[in-house]
Amino acid sequence: MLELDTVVAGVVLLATAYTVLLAVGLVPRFRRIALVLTAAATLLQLIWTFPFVANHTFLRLFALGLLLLADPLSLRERRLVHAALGWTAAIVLFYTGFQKLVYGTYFQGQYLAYMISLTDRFAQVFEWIVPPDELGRLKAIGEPVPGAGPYTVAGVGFLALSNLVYVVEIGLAFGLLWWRSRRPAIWMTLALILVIQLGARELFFGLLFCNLVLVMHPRDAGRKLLPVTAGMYLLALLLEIFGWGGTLS
Amino acid sequence: MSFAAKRRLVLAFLVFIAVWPLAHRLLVAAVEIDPWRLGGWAMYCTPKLRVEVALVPERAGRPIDLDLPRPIREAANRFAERRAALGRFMDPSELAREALGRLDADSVVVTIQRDRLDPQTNRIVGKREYFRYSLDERGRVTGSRFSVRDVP
Repeated sequence: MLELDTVVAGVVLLATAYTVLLAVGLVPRFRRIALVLTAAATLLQLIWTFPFVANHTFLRLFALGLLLLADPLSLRERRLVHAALGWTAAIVLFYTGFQKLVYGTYFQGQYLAYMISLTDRFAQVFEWIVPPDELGRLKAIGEPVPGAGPYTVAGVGFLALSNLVYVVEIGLAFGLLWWRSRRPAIWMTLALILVIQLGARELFFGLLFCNLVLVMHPRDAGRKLLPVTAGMYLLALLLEIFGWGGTLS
Repeated sequence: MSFAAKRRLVLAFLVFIAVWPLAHRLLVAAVEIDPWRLGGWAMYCTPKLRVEVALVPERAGRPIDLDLPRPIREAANRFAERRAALGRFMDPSELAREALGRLDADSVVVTIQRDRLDPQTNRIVGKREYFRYSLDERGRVTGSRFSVRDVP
């Protein structure tokens, strides 16, 4: 019980600290100190929760570390960090696709079939493309104990969609790097993240990644969309407090 | 720090984040770290399946029917969570030491079962490892893995 209380207290403390630091960071003269303190809080969070660290915590620490490196008065340093943030987003996006390829669980739709079998949310997302008898069979598999399966779906559309996931992720990563395709790739990446959120509710990773991708937008769209991002976090908080939307990662 | 030094630092960072996921994949294959953890960007590649840990105390080489005290069960659960994340970097000998310190037993068998989705058979498959540990005269825990079986 004491252990759980400590965890809850830690989460509340960190959430409060991040919110206050975000507000402080909106004032230009305090931006630097807010950045330093946010990076320190993230590092502490990482140490405190290791090895159960969500990947978006690493991503946040990378972004904060890069931002800390730049002298805000130096244009070339700002450009260097700006480019590095873009490369970071592209590398992460590339590997989210590449790892699916390497693990081999998307070729026959195994992973998505497993998720459909296990969760109603994935089943609802894919019911339009999975034949009803296959959907029924997957749902009937039950607990994922040794021997459970087979996690496959007989249907060309589903297989194509499963394989399209990593193809799009890898393709968009390259699209973000090439200046000619960057702008459409940015919006397509945002759309991809939005679609992914239908099944995998990874709000914190999703929002952080959207902002990282928007850093590459030539018209500073990320800054303009800051109220939208803040609104999403507020909505997530309300959903969590009132238990309306299930668990958000 | 000069601009050139910062540029070198950024380059080193980018090389690191470009190479680490490959190393991460090798670590998953070699020591079974959790694909979802440690920044390998392999989320949603393979299911998050629990690692099951069980302890069987023994006396004179035979299993004994003994209710494990709550602290031991909690230690086993904590170990299972850490083993799931860090794979074989988490050695069961510490758990065995804790168990042998609290139980009236000569030795303890620790079983660790890890399941995964096999992309060849499209089914969940498991691997169960068996470790036996005992305490020597100096109170040091000794032992090792003695069997590995596929489940089912």
